[in-house]
Amino acid sequence: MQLFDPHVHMTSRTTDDYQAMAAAGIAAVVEPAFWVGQPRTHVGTFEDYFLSLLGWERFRAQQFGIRHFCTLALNPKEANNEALAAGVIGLLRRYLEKDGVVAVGEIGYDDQTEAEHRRFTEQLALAREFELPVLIHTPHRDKKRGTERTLALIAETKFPPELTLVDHNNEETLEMVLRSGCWAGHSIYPATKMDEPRMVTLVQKYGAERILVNSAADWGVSDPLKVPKTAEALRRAGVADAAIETICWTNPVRFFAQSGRLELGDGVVPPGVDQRQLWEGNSVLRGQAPRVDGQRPRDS
Amino acid sequence: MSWRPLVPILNARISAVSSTWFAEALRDAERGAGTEIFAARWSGLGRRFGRASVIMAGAEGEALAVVSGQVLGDGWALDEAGRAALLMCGLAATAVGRHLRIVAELFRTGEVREQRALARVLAFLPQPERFSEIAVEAIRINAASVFEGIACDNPYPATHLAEGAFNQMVVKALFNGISVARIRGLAQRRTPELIRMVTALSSERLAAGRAVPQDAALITKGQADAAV
Repeated sequence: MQLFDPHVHMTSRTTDDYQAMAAAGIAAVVEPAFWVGQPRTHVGTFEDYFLSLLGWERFRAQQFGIRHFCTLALNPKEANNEALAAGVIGLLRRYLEKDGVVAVGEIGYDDQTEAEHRRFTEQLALAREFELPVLIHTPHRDKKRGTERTLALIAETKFPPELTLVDHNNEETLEMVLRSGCWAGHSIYPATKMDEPRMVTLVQKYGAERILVNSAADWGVSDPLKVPKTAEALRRAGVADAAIETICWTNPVRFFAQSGRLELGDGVVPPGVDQRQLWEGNSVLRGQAPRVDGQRPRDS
Repeated sequence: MSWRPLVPILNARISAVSSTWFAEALRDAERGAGTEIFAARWSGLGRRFGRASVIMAGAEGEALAVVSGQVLGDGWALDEAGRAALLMCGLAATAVGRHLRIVAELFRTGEVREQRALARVLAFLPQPERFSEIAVEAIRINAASVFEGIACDNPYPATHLAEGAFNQMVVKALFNGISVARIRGLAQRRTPELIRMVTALSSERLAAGRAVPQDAALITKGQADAAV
């Protein structure tokens, strides 16, 4: 079964991670623009970050047969820096039009400040203008209230719920997100957010419709194999393969395909990884033997 | 106006909806290439055209610009040829003195397909020698599709690049396993310095117990004339 990680910050990960992800069946990823662990101090840093998500990172992923897409936005944490915010929103007008941008995100609330609210609202309008779905971060502190405020803003601005993915859900937020008509993401983490056994319980209770799982792996303690590990946990618990495929492939494909920019190539069955002949005719091997499907790469 | 015949050739290969969009994009471009709307059209073209190859049939490409045997757009991907037409249309409506700044800005802010399209069209732009720094930047980029866009099947480097930049491109192609037989005009640029650099690369590979790129002989043994 091929898998989709709809939220992973690959910029922070190594080629070993890409290799392990491909071996575990991950065929496509979405990398949302977020903060980078410490506050940025220049608008230009955001521009170079956006460019790396549209260029170098896409190419890195392709080398391992993984399709890489991104979402771009001013994230909620840095929305609080008034000196930067307007400049970054200005950049988005140029970059949201690019190929490979499959949503506006991560947007939403973090500390739930007035500044976050203003930039969240502005970026919902940008998503409408550029005909893109939105990927919404929900806060890790005061999450339930933050999720309620998120859903209230979606309703108030009449943003289409079918174009809205509300992420980082838990036992206290999932029901209201599903009831709103939005899609519900779950970040499976080693210690915080959501874990595999709890996710199994949620799927057993709520089913597979509009439910997604992701690793949200980044520069902290996190695990880019959490989607395959969750798929395995669901299988062991007796969840039907069809439901697992819906959660781990079909739902993210259906959600992001609404952008009209989710080019999966052959899609349902991506071509085997063959670094001798990569799609787009690329090849950046630094002296190592090309990896061909079914073979372990030779150490060099 | 040797790009205009490209428009019907492309329209025959894209959907009716995309053709309508393209007609509007060209109308926007006729107001110049330095505008926000031009940048948006330039980016938005990719998903409307796709990446199928434009193989021109018979006399189809006859009226098009030709540089060193390369017919504008022939053998390119649809999005590359579409962006070429859009840019040539936009620059034709823009003061010549602003061209370099506009093209450099499109390259700087481009995602990989946009950068690759720019690399391919440089040779066809007015006074192409002005754009050599952009070609050099494309050679420095590690994303192979952009590098191949400038290095392979492209008349620009052999015609306009200084020896240092041209030689770096040839050695980078060998280094990355890209066939130098795809570098146009290589035979005319086979200098003693290039031969020395390729010989050094071969020596380094042998010393490390690795294979020497087969194509290296095209340069070291003077077989480039036969291949190009």
